[in-house]
Amino acid sequence: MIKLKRTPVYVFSVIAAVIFLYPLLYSFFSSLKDNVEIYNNSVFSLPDVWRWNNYKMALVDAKISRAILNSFIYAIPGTFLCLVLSLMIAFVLSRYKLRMNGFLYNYFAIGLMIPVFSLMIPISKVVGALHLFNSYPLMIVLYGVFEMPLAIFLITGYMKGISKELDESAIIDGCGPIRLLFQIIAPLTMPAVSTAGILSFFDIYNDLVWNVILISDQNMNNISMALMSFVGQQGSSQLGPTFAGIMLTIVPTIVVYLLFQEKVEKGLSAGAVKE
Amino acid sequence: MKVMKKTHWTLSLLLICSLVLSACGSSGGSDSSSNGGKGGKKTQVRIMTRLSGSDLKSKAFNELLDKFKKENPDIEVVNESVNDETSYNNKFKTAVATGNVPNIWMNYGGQSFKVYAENIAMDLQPVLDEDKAWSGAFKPLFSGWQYSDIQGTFAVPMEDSSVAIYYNKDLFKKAGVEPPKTIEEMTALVEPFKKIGAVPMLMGDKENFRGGHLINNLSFKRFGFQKTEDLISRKAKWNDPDMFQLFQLMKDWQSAGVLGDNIVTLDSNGTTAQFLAGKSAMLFEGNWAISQLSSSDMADQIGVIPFPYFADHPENKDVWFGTAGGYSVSKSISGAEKDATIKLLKYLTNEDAFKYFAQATKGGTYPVNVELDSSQIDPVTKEYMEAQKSAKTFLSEIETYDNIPSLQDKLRSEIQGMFAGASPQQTADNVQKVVDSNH
Repeated sequence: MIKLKRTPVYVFSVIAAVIFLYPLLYSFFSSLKDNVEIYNNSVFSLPDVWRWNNYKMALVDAKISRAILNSFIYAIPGTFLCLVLSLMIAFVLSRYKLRMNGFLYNYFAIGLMIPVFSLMIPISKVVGALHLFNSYPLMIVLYGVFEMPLAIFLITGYMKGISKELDESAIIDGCGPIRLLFQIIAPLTMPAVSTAGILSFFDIYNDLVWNVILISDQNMNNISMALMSFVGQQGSSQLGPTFAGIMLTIVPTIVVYLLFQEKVEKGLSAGAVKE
Repeated sequence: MKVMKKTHWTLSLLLICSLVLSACGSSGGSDSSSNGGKGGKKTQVRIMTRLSGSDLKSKAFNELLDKFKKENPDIEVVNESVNDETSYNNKFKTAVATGNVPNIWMNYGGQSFKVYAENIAMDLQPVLDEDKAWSGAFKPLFSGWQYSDIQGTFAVPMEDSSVAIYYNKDLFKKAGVEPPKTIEEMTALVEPFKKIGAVPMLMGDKENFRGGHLINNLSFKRFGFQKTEDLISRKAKWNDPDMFQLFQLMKDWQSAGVLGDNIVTLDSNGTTAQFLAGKSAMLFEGNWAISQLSSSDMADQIGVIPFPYFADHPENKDVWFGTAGGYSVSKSISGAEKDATIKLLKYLTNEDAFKYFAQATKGGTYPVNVELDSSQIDPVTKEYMEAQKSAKTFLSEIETYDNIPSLQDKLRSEIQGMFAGASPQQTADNVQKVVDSNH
């Protein structure tokens, strides 16, 4: 009886799994086809010839492996920087009663509303004046700072829900503000930090605009730039190797997701219910 | 104590990370540090093109740059090329806005380039006059960078683009028809090809430039250059009976099934893929498609014809739609930097360079006449060159002669709208509205 009751759930789960896995499967099969097969054969068809050479092209011609490494070089320290700074700001905004707090919170939140394209020229001008084109540290700082508004918004909101009695008892026991933040409050804020971290990481990992404008050294291209290697001058592109590149670039993201799966899922529902 | 130790560890780790990254950054950033030869003996030349990626032409371009670097160890070439059009435009416009214009950059000239000619591009006429051995080899493709009210020539051609029709010889044989010579023959092809499960000339206008190319071809074959002159001098209108009939013709082709039934959602890759799969008998495409077509299994089955002409206007039969891409040079450079830049410019646009491109891509058409051993040329290039022999005049898009920068975008998106359902009259009226609102 119980088993019968569960049947619809299983059926729904299978349908959902098929729907969600289909794009991945489509990308995988397309990564082994050429343009003629991709456009003319059925979307469910297997490749006529399994073109593993597409993967070789992605790795050699588009230098995907180097691009993945670069994306990590931008994304890991960028996310780390963003989270450390955002945690400290969120700590002040949520745990201290300062007059400026309302203004500061709005100031950071406004960052969420500024479109990235409006920043292209002023930032390029500053970077040009400082001769910092093609610089990893610059890109890391830039990415980290761009992701801060959302991280501050998420972390501050979550931190406000943590009881202030914790702070008081810690201070009575002689705890300083740095230790209070990083050893007591930060672990409790982990669901929000994880969410902000994951969102920032993928945002930086997939960026295109800033890499186009501030990077001209092809050895510093990130994955979005590398994936454009197979686009020709008039829009014609070799889709097989492009899909192969996409498959290669999503592997690390799946690994990151699986490693932090629990935290991401917790983070997504963080703050949904007040305890 | 434990906490202190942990803090030290964390700080040390951070320090190491930042040092490693700074080292990486400075090696990558050496491009800018040696700017103008300040940091060392090398003179830096920055070049921005759309030749980047894994296609044969881009590879040949990179090889040429490498050869130049080897032959000129005192010149440091920074290649800032991006192939994607939007990304290229973003990068170039940002560079201009920040005063960081590359020494050499690629563009397509025309009226939309005039503002650059006036402000940032160097007049290359003295350079051309000085070295006749180099400049004398070019085909007459400079008009896109010359203006009646500004003295000078603001680029040298680096590629020669034209648009023709590729056709599948096998399919035409199967359908028992001949490739069309006149516009009037196009509609008659629908039925014979329908019987063998194909479309006469499948068109994908998802990227919307294809519709723009089509109306330009029709206008040149119907009116020659006269209508273009009248449109830019405002004597004629985009919604007058002449132009309206061209919009109507495109709509009629769509309704009759000449262009397939999926115009707005099909892109260029899809169109080419379906042509190669034998689902479309013809492909309306530029010479940039040659390398892709010639590397396909059916390369020997591909023929090339000029765009058909109007039976009652044979005088425009040999007018071709064609344009050139060129290299412009920043006018803010001088001294050793200027010398190095001009040296690279000549290196990339001399006869040897184009011969190198032709050999690397096994064909193609170039801004200079490249003599190649016929055994080295692919069959599609041969067909293309044969068809192009008939060309007497090459005309660029009408919009490039016009001084309204947004006209091209508007015309192309309105045509896309027409294929999606708008009426030809409404389309023509909307294009004219853009012209009217600018005066």
